[in-house]
Amino acid sequence: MEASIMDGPKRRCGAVSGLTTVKNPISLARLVMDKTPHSYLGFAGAEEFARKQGVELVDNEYFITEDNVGMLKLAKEANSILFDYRIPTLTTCGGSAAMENQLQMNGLPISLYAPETVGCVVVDKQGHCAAATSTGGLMNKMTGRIGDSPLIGSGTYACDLVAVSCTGEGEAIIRSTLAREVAAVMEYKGLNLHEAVDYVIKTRLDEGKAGLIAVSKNGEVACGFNTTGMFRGCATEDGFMEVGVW
Amino acid sequence: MGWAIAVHGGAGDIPLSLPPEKRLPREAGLRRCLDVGIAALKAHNHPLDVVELVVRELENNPHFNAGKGSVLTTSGTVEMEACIMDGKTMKCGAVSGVSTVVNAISLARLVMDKTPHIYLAFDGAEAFAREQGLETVEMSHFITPENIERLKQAQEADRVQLDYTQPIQKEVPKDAALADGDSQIGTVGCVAVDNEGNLATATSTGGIVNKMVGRIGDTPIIGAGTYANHLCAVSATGRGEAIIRGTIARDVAAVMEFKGLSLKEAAAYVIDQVPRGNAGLVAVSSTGEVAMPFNTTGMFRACATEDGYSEIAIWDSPTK
Repeated sequence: MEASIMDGPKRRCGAVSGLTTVKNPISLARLVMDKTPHSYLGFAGAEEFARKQGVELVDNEYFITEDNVGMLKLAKEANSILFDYRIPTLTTCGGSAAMENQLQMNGLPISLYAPETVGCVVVDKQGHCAAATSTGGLMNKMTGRIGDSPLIGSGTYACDLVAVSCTGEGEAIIRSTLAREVAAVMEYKGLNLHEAVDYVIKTRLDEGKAGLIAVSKNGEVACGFNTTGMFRGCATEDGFMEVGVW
Repeated sequence: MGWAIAVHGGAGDIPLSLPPEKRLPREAGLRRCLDVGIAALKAHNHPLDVVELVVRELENNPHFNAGKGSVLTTSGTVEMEACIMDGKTMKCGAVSGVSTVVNAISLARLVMDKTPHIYLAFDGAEAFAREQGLETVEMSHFITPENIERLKQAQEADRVQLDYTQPIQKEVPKDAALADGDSQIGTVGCVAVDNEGNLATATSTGGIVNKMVGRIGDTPIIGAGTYANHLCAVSATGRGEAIIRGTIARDVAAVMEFKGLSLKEAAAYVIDQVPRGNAGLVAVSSTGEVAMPFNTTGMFRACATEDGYSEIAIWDSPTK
């Protein structure tokens, strides 16, 4: 599991990767930010830090669900990578059906598409923004694979202007440094939040599929995605609230 | 237009009093790597191959903080990381937590070329290296006596900084040059462009002295220590944590694109935004410009362009 968190005002950040027993990776990322001179810890070193900090640890089995075990089996049969999304129709297509319908990612086949990284962006009354992202990564990923979620500027970013959290094809998000891109067009091109999110989703993703949520220091909230859907919810102080999928 | 290449061997608090026995081997190393890169460009090798080749040379040179000669973690181990990116295709590869692979940059290249992923780390990266038949050795291969000494001094400085009975030592800034005149931070990198405007960048490092086990710096983070697109290729060096939060490498290209600055202006602008003493970078643009700004005391660097210009330097003017 991996996660990252970023605090807009001083752009302080913390990230972790390769966690297997830490119950809440995002909180460990926070501790990396607050309690170490570093920004990013991974694997055995991160787990050791977790132990020393006394955070809640569980057996690796705690995280594993039956659904995911099933999905992994399918992915291995199809010899491809899956985004960890469950849809009922999956049970009706066997490995061979998946092979016929080859979507590509990074030049290699993927069977299904709809990722489930999680993230949150917040701005308070004073305009302070913060972003956090957490994920288990890709189904059937290579051991040791790091995606966009713990990478500052790719899956997560926050500065004085804006906070962004991304989800989707990790590799595409990394190549396009998606989260930083939103802030960069606001900072260097003077676009407002909605224009920036639109612009970035439309022009920066090549063939990659991704989505993001963002808040600005002015209390605006925006989301954008070039996928079929993105599970999301947002609320603003004036009472606006929305939950959406498509 | 025309080809261009720039190489760095780390930015940091390199004291002007650096003794010749420390300065000369590094200058010679930079010269050698520059020559290797120039020859490769003249032979029409793709910039991606050029930067990998040059960084391999730097990794093999024990005087730089990458590959052999990597600084040590707080446990006395070596955890190397590297990253490579192709400006035209935006394909990239990165590795972290590598302890036995002779050339981490080549492993990063294989991640880019042979996997559906961009970034592999620790055990997974090591396993992939073996699968791919890359040269691996005992970790002791990378450890030099100088680095054992550096670690000792850093741990001593840490301990001493906490010891309030020694107020004089307490005033020593955390990043001060160590007693042997060496900076604690460093990285190696190379950027290149051919005369068709193909750009590439590669960066490799052992990290920072006395780092926590598992600490990942800016080098393997696309957009932080390493980045290339159709406009420019950038490799940064310095305090990783500052480079990450400043998304340094990405910003050089972003500022060129969104503010229309030249490479030199963009590179200088971005380095200026980072607190003094924290960063440097080398960059080339698609039109063959070179920039090597730094806001530290010095940066081991070298560059050459097709029109015959070449330079090897450590200190001198901060923005070039």
